[in-house]
Amino acid sequence: MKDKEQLDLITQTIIGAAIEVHRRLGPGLLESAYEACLAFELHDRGLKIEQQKPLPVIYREVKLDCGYWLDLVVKDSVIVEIKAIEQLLPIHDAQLLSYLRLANKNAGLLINFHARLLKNGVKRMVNEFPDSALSAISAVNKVS
Amino acid sequence: MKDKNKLDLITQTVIGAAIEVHRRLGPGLLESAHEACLAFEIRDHHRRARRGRRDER
Repeated sequence: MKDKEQLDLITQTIIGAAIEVHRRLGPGLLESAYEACLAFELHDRGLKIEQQKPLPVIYREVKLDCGYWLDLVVKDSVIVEIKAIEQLLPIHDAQLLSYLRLANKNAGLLINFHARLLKNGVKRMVNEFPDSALSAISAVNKVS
Repeated sequence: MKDKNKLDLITQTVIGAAIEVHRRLGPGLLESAHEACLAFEIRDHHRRARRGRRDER
């Protein structure tokens, strides 16, 4: 598990890379285009990434197939869920929270590339205690 | 159609399974994740009940 400062640094780098992609492409393209370009930017910044990683659901030590795929996993620790939609909705928080819990990761980013200003389309989510029953305590904070 | 007692037993089982899923996963996840885990709990309950009946014989 990475510590808080390392996670902050990784999420900062990802947000910087996303702003760069948004500056170059603007809003209005397909999600897959943003994903490919963000992956390129992160790779260019020397971060290890995995794209479209399958996520099995482990429930009571049994693997259940829910057909989930993670858009990007950065440095084995931060899950990035990319959107290209009018606006982020509570269901997208639920999606990212599900992914964090099920993948046992601490930090995640929701990035909506259709936002006119990218910083208004970024949400950072933390799953602070992935191994304990306390994992229900998760914080959602909008990046300002 | 099943009689009232059987239906009561089924709904009790489903509610018990749902409480177990909620206890383990907590709120806020996707519907499909809750669904897969609830299906698992109900099947598991059924398996345990059958095994219990077999052991009684």
